[in-house]
Amino acid sequence: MRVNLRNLLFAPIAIISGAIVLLGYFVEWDLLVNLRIELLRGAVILAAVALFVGIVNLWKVHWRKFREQKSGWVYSVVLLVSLVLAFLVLIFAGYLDGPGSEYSLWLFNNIQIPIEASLMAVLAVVLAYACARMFHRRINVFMLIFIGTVLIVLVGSATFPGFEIPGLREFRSWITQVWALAGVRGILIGVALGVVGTGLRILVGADRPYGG
Amino acid sequence: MSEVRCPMCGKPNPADQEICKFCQARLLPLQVTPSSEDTSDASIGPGETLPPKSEDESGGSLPDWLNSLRQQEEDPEPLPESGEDETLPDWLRDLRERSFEFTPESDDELPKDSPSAFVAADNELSEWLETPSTTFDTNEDFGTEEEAVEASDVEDSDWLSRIISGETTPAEPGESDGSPEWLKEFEPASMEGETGTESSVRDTEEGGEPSEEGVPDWLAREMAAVAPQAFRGRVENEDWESQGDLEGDEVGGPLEKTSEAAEDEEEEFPDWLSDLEGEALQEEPAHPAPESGNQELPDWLTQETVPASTPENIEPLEDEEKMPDWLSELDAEAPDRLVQEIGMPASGEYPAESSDEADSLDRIDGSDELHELTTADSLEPPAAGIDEGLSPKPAVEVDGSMEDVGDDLSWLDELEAAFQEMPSEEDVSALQLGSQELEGEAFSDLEPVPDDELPDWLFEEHPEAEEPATLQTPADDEEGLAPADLPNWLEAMRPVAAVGVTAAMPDDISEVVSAGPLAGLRGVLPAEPDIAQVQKPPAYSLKLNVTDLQRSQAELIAQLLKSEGRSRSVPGRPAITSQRVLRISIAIVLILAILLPLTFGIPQVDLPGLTPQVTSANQLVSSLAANAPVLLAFDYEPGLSGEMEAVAAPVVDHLMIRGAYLVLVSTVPTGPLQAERLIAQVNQSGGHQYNSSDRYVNLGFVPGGPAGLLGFAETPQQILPTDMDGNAIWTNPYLQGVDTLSKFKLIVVATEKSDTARAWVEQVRPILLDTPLVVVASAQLEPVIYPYYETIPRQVHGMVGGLAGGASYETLQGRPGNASGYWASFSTGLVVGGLLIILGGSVNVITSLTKRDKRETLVEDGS
Repeated sequence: MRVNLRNLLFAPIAIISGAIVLLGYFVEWDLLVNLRIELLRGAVILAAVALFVGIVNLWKVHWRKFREQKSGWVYSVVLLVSLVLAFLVLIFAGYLDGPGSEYSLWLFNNIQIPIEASLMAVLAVVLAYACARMFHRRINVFMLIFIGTVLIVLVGSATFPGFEIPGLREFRSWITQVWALAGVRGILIGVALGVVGTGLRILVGADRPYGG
Repeated sequence: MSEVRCPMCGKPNPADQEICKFCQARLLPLQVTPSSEDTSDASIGPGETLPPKSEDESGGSLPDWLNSLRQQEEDPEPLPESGEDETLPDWLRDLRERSFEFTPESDDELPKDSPSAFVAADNELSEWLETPSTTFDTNEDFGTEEEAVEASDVEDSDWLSRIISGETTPAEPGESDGSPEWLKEFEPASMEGETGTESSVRDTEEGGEPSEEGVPDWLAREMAAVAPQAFRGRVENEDWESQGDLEGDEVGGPLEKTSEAAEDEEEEFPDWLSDLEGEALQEEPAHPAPESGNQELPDWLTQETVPASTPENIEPLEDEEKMPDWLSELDAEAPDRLVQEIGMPASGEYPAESSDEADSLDRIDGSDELHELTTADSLEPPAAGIDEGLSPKPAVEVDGSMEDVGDDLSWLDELEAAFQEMPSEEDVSALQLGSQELEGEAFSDLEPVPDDELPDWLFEEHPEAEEPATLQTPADDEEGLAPADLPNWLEAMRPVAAVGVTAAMPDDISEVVSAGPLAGLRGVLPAEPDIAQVQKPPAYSLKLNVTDLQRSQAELIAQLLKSEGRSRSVPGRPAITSQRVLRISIAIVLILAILLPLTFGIPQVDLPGLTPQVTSANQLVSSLAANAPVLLAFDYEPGLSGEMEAVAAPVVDHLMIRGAYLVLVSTVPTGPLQAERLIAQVNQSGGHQYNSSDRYVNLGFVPGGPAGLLGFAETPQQILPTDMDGNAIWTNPYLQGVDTLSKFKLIVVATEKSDTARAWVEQVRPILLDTPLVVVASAQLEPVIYPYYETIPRQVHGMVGGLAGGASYETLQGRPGNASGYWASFSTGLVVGGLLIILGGSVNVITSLTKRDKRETLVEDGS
């Protein structure tokens, strides 16, 4: 029988850590609470290290793409240059004036936020065009319901200059706070049950997201 | 004292002895006293010579070999005579001496029941039956039964060929068991009276190994060595088929003459006897005579095939005077002795077998094979393969009928009577025609042998064979001539083995060697194999012969195949399409709808109304004391910073107004900078002087997602002990005693992500205890957070959702900000967006219906 060291080592750690943290919700035991806190701290540190490792991996991938001249290597070059510039600016500006220095905010305010905000602006135009395009396809009841709901919520969210469509706001509120609330609650309950199930599987070792 | 050797056992006997004291065989031949009227010219005694006959009388009707003998007769040589042998012709005496060179050691070696015994007894019969004798090699042994069968087959072909060749005498009608029934029909009815003994004798004779040509080799050798030249020519002829042709050609004349002189010969002594005597006296080589002795049998011999004499049919011989004495004696005695020796049954006792047996006797009389039986070797015990049928029949059955020796000569009378009843030439011709008809009937299914399979010698060695046309049409003046044409069915019955072997031989092998030491030989293997003979290979045309139709079809297939591999050019998209126009139009309209309120303040729209969750949030902020620690989380992405900053700004402004000590934290990497950016904006827009040194602290990024958030919620000092600058914040007087998030007076979470909002609600809210949680969410997250707001107790105590929430919050504060300023553009954009969806949808519906109608129209037109 082939014995996997990863299972022998990682599974108990995952199960024990999960059990300790779970018990910490129900048992007010100082040792258990402290143990849970230490585990959470370790998780935060590991997440930070994982983030750093992620940045290194991002560098390697795009560097390899640039070195092998694969398709889209120019974008990789832009990413690498931006990464290096942001890293250098934050290091030197942070060393001088902290992470929230003026240079850092300049990069953030003049590069990152406009780029991402423009993508969201284009999204608005695309969504409007997609809704209009939906009529080009075969029209059925569900599509009419979808389009009707969208129109009601959009128009109902707006205010008109000097007048108000009677019942539209109330109808929009009824849709968002009854139908949408019911749907979201169902989704949240489903997500909660899924999380509980996943947590239990990890605790019993049936599911090993850490591998093995 | 002179002695006479027994012709059967070869032992010496006193000269005056008529019957061998050892084997009881007759020593002296029987002599038939000719009648007084025929004595002058018909009778012939030993040593006498027959008067020569003119060519017209006899020679023309006799076969060549008889003619040759007759020619030899013209110059007879006197032979010494002595004792009783003087009664015999010299040639017969000579032959007898040669024939009985073998002398058995004792009588015991010759059991009377053995075939040799009756063969010896039959020797007397053979003496008068056989033609000028040939002495057979005594070393020849009996063949096996299979060989006998083969010999029988050969004999079949012989008599068949004789029929075709037009012999006047039906010498041997189907005698073998293997003969077809139709052939047996040709057997003269007179043959039915023959005995089985004769057949047995004949079968015994056929023990010799036959040659391919139908004549056994041993017989050929013996005949070549001993027989007169007339017979030698017959043996030397290899082709049994050509024999028939040649005979037909050569015998035609003699046969005709024979028929003409038949009446004369009846009155005279048989010519053949005088010929034989003359031949024996002269012993001069004659020119090659007709081949088959059976075919050339004299007429009197052919008569012998007529019903054999049986004791029942024995009648006084009327024409005894016509025959020589010795012959008459032999004739009278031989059947008796034969019957006595082998127990030959009377005629009719073997009716079913009489036909075959009579045939065998027929063959005996004309062939020399009988002499083989009389030789020394033939007297040896029979081979194991000899059929038991050869054993003599019990003599008891015929003993009673054999008592009267004088009646034995009656069979000669029958012979003569049968001679008169012989089928005439017309009958023979009719028989031939009948055979040809049968050929078409009985052998129509036989596949004729193609010419290329026939051996070359059929065409080369006998140029006479090319003249069958002339032979097949007998002239009227050539009476009795039968066409020497071999019918196809008979040709198909030829010995296949000989033909096959010859045909299988390659041409170069079958050719005669023209040079070298082997010149003249045939069948010599080539000196070098064929593979060594280099020759230029034949040239074959590589051009394919196709018709025009095939060529056109091939070209069509080639074009089809070529078109499949050819990529079809895709028509380029037009620069301006309806969809692109629609997309651009939507963008332009939206941009205009958003820019117009911002730029020109048109249209002026009302701000949204207050909502309970916004009001609750405002109240919670309003309830904060000065310098109260407030945890402010900025968990949104920079892309949504436009909406989130507009929504969060009135809340932060309100907090600054309230003088709260702000602790900034974020679960998003860009969160700390987002917080710094918002503080800066609110400071600028609200006129506040919040800085990081005394009024707020930026703890930075909390990694680990929900786990890190949980850890931060439980032990914020351990998870984030310092701010982004590395300063210890937990020692700040505004943060003393804050070791958990529950010690904060208010928790404000600005996020646009549902997961992050849920993590805060699910992971942090249980730890907060009484600390209120306010969520500043985007418009898309508002429905997700709203359920947590609606719960009792509330998990989210206040919520500012979307631009509408921010505008409402500003309205509550009385401090219009970005949210109020954006609201007109946002509201106009929503309405325009709704209208564009309706308008665009209508256009798409119309275009789709138009295209569908066109398509249906095309389909209808096409159908």
